[in-house]
Amino acid sequence: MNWIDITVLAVTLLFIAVYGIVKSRRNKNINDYLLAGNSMPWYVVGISIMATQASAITFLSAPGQAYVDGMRFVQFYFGLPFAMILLCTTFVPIYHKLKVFTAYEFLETRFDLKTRSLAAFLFLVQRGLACGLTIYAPAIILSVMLGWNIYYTNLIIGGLVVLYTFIGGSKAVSITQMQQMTVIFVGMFIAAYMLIRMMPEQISFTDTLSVAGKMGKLNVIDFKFDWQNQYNIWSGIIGGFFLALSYFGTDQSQVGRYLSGRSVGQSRLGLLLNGIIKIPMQFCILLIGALMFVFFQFHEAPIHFNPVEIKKLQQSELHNEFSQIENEFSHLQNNKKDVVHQLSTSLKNKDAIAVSSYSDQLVAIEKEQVVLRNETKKLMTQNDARAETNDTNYIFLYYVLNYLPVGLIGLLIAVIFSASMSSTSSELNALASTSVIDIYKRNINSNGSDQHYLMVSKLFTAAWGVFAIVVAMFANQLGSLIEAVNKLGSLFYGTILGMFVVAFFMKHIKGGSVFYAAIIAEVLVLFCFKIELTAFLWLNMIGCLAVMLIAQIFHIIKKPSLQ
Amino acid sequence: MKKKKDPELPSFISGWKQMYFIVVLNLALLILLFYFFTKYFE
Repeated sequence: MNWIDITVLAVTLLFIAVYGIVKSRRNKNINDYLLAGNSMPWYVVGISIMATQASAITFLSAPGQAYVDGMRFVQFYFGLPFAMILLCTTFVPIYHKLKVFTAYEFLETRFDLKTRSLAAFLFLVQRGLACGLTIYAPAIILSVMLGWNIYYTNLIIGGLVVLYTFIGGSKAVSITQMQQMTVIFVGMFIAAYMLIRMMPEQISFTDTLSVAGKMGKLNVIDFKFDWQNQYNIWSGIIGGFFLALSYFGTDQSQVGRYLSGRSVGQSRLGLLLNGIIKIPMQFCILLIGALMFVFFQFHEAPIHFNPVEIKKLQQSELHNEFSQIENEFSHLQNNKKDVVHQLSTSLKNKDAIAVSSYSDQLVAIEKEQVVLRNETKKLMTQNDARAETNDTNYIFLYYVLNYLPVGLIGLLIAVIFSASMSSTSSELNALASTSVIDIYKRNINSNGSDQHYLMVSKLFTAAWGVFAIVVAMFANQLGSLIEAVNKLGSLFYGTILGMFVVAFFMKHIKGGSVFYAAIIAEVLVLFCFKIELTAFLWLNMIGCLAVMLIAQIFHIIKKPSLQ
Repeated sequence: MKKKKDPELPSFISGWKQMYFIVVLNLALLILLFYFFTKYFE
């Protein structure tokens, strides 16, 4: 990396960290530390909500996801606007009215302590693991950039973010997210602009989209219903609705964001802003992946985007086999360039027969390249059983580091790091607040002073940070991180949401019923996942409906011990 | 009695229901746009 990039990177990150810490140094009590003193205007709430969800994973993994699988992932967000509306009408007014610190406090008011503790426990397990993935993402970048072992970069990134959250608290998170989102949008816009600019002269933007479309990368909408299909409009609207509702309604990392709004109205507007902007934003990020795919039809693409794994293979006993595969791949790549040029010319001339013929040729070459990529992955595993064969998370990084001009590389890396800092610090903050308010204060020490709880909050922040760093050490086998983190959430969110839905809408049901129903539903969800019954988004719906149904059955049976 | 408008809403919005409608309308338009986008470049 050039010294200019390193300077840009360091200055950007330093500015974000110092600004956040200075602005938030007046944290006097636990309310200030955890909920930013309930003082945030709607636009800060909205941006904070988006920045919490848009971690480094989004910017690192989403373009790679579109590169590999096309843009259909955007359908995953179609249920989100409906979830935002339901939250505005039900969850938000109740949370504000009860003046809760965490979402789970409400469950004790409505049911009992054990139900609250169960929901908090499920959240802590899920979010603690997910936080490890959020740390792992920027650690990948640092590892590639510096050529260091991923274990060391996990430690560095994790340590920095813990320090940042430990010193600043929630207000620093909210305040700096404004700056971070600005940097992110500027950086992503420049990345997209550079992609289009670096296409061959005769290839217009429309030609680029046409080629991407012919290669199946602009598959944004799919109306065909299929339980096993991860992303179609139905799984997106229905499964995505349940996922978004439970993520935004019950995950403390998000609830903490909108509870920091200075009134119900400001929290609502912040959520609705997210409901309007989120989908176009994700569309643009995925479009970058589709454009990048076309870009690599004209520019030399490596057979595998993870340089660390490639280097390991080149230095192994299998290097001859690998060279042979690499040469074949390179030969196909050259053929592909010619065919893409011919395709774009026939698109310009509106020659339908030629377009169809060249599209078929391109798809055939692409298939041959996929075979060669798979052979390379086999060699990697043969060489090292723990090799990271899935390179989805490395594709965008490869583009940034190899094709962007000096200065921009530093800015974009800073973008991804800052997204990671804001997201991880939000998560750590949520983990700490849930641990203190829902577990420590209610089950261990309920008579401490405000200062005592503030200190314990900071200690929990550090403890969860260490846990997340340990998880990050084991995250290199999970493939596409954006999918992995959502799959992980889907294992727990449905059950947690079910508990809240029963609390809000099934007023006749008492704590005992919902507690046992939640345990059974969680086992059911894990079983469904294990036998791969359905695409992961549906697990959110299964978990939620199972809690409602089983709680209702328990209520009908009316065992005295359960009520 | 006519319900008073929430002062926190933007001036051009008459009530929360209208605000929610705008969010749903935005989604519907996006889906329509994405559908034509997919079909056009298919």
